[in-house]
Amino acid sequence: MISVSDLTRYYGDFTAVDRISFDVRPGEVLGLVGPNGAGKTTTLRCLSGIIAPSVGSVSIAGYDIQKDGVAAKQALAFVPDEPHLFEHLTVEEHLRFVARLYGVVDAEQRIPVLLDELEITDKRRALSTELSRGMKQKLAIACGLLHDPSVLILDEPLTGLDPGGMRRMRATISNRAKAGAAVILSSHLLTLVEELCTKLFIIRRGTCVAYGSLPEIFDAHPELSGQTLEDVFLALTGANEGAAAP
Amino acid sequence: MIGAFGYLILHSARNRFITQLRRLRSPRYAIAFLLGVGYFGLVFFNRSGSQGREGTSPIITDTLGALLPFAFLVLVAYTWLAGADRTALAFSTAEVSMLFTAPVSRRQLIVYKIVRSQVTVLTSSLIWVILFGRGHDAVTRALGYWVLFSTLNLHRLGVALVRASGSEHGTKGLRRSVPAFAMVGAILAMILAGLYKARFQFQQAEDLGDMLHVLGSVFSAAPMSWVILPFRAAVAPAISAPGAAWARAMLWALGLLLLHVLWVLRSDAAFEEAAAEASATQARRIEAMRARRLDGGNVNTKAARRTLPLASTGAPAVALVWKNTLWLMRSGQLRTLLGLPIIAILAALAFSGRSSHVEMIIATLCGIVGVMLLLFGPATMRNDMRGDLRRLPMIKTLPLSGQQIILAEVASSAVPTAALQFLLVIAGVIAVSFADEVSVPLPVRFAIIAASPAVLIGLNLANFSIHNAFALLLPGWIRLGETSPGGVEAMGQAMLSSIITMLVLALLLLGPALGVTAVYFLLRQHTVLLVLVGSAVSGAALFFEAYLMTEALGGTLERTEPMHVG
Repeated sequence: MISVSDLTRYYGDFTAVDRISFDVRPGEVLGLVGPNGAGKTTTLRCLSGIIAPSVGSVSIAGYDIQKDGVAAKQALAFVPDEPHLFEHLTVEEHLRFVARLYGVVDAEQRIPVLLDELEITDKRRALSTELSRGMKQKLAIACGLLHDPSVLILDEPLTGLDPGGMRRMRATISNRAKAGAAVILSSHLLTLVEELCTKLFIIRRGTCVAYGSLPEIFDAHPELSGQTLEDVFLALTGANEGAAAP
Repeated sequence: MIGAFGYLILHSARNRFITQLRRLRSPRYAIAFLLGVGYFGLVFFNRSGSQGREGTSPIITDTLGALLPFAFLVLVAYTWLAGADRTALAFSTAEVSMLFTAPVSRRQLIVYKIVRSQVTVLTSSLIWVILFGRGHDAVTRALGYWVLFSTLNLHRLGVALVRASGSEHGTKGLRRSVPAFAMVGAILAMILAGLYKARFQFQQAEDLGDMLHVLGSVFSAAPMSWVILPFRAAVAPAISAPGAAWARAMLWALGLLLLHVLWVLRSDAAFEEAAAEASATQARRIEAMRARRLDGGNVNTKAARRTLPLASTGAPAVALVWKNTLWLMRSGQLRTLLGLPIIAILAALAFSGRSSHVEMIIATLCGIVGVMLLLFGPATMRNDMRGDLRRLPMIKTLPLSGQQIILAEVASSAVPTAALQFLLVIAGVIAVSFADEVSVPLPVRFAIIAASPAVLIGLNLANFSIHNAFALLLPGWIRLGETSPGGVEAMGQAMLSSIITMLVLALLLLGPALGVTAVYFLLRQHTVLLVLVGSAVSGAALFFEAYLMTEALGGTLERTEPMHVG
């Protein structure tokens, strides 16, 4: 469903992402983790068609994101860490806008269900500027889910959500994957990644340092066997240098 | 604490200067900077030279000098009446989070606010000296502008504090503000009474000069002369010639400034709460500007109750037009543009009693306003790619091709502008119908009305495509909120972009003009047919050119990366 091959991205002389490759099949949730500046955001932006790879290719639902961008994006939903909303549209109008863009035939039935699921029904007539950070995040998620995407890319999806919202979001991600969506989840919340992801892609300075399910990573790095994901992450990314456990 | 404030102000100014200097390494900023410097130099030296030759007088003429105290009075009255001055208290979000939580007294915060505003005051003074100054009295004039702008700035701050005190402390605050409000109320009442008494003199005035003369005489007799006295005192150093008179005027103006300082420092009771609120308002405005609305106005929440239907199936690009239309309805853009035709009609009505050619005046004004909408409309009507560039990452994830996005965005601005111009065409044709001087046959009038939409839509699509092309190709040159250009190069950029836009538009008009010429030679005997076919040909040619531009821009959009837009 998502196929990334030799993805490389340069910014001038700087290599932000260096020849990374991975696949995410339907029903899988890939956790994309790495320290700040590792190249996660660049990778996600390449996957969602915001920026073009310098080298390599990205395929979404069988379509090359560069050559057949419209078809690829039709199958995709990207929820960024910072919601970009139109301040002159209400919550409901955002969903109607997305429905038209993606041709959601049963939008009239889906919109109330989605608003209820994300607990923003009472805000449906509010402008996005009147929403709190968490509400904005919920609206961005609702916009992403409305057209029932087969590929879901989430960048820090829990930011701003209250504990109840976080629990529901975790369930939503899990349910979407069970329904056959290929999901990429980027987050610094390693407990969330550990709970939801079927496999991991750990990135450091633009290159892959580990890829596979946690048991597969333990097989590749026997010295880390039995440790928590946090310990594995710190060991593989070198982020534990100078950091002491509490 | 003062040291910390000084450090913050100086280093912020220095870093801003360095950032602007670094930008000059980019050729497009360097060219614009040179153009801006050249323009300023031309204005400054040209003025100095011409004055030197003539050995005369200040650039600010007597009329302007006489008007300044009244302009100052109107500005102050507006500040008191409009009540929209709380942003005078605004701090940046960084200042709120750093300074409001620091062990700093309210009075120190006000001092900081006053000192910080001096950066703007000094810059404004410098610009005014360049534009209106003279060689030999540039220094005294600069000092005069500085006192004037500082006083005005402090007055705004004072008014904001009085209003804040009233709303924050309820009855107690209002009671404390009573003297200030009573004084302003009395002054305004006195002015209105004086102007009412002189209404017959105003009616008899034949031109602006006469009106100014009447205004001057009204304010020269007591008690009206007392009312205008502080305003004359504040303005006097900016318009007086150097010498003893200037020194005396400066002393009075400095006294007034000192009174303002004392007033502001004494009314700090509700400062912190009001400043926090004002800062939040300003932050919302900045966010709104960054997002789309460059007029800084707020989206009308009440207006959001009215919506437009949108089917969930059909051409997906229509969703973008729908979104932009809602924005147009809910922001001040349409109102601003509607103002032009309304002014045209009001002006025509104002002339109606004095001219026997009112119909032709209306028709001419409709034509002028139509052209103005074409040339200056894009500066106001910005509900297109120029607005959505701030959301480029989101726009690029939409399941639309680059050209579909550009076409929808350009149409969002072009079609409403064409519709306004179409209304003007109808008004103009109707006006001509009643004119005695011109006789346009009825079928031709109908043909003009029927054919104009094709030309207007084509023309506006081409025109807005150029403006959107600028935004995409040179995003640093247009206002996109945080990344908006500043400094001298901004002026150069504005000049250069205007020149290039005009040139490209003229170039795009060449093809359609040739087509119309050919049609003219073929159908000049059949006026109705000539109008219909000529309009269809030129409209189609313009639409085709616009289409080609959107195709090219679509490719550019697909290649454009958010980091290049800012």
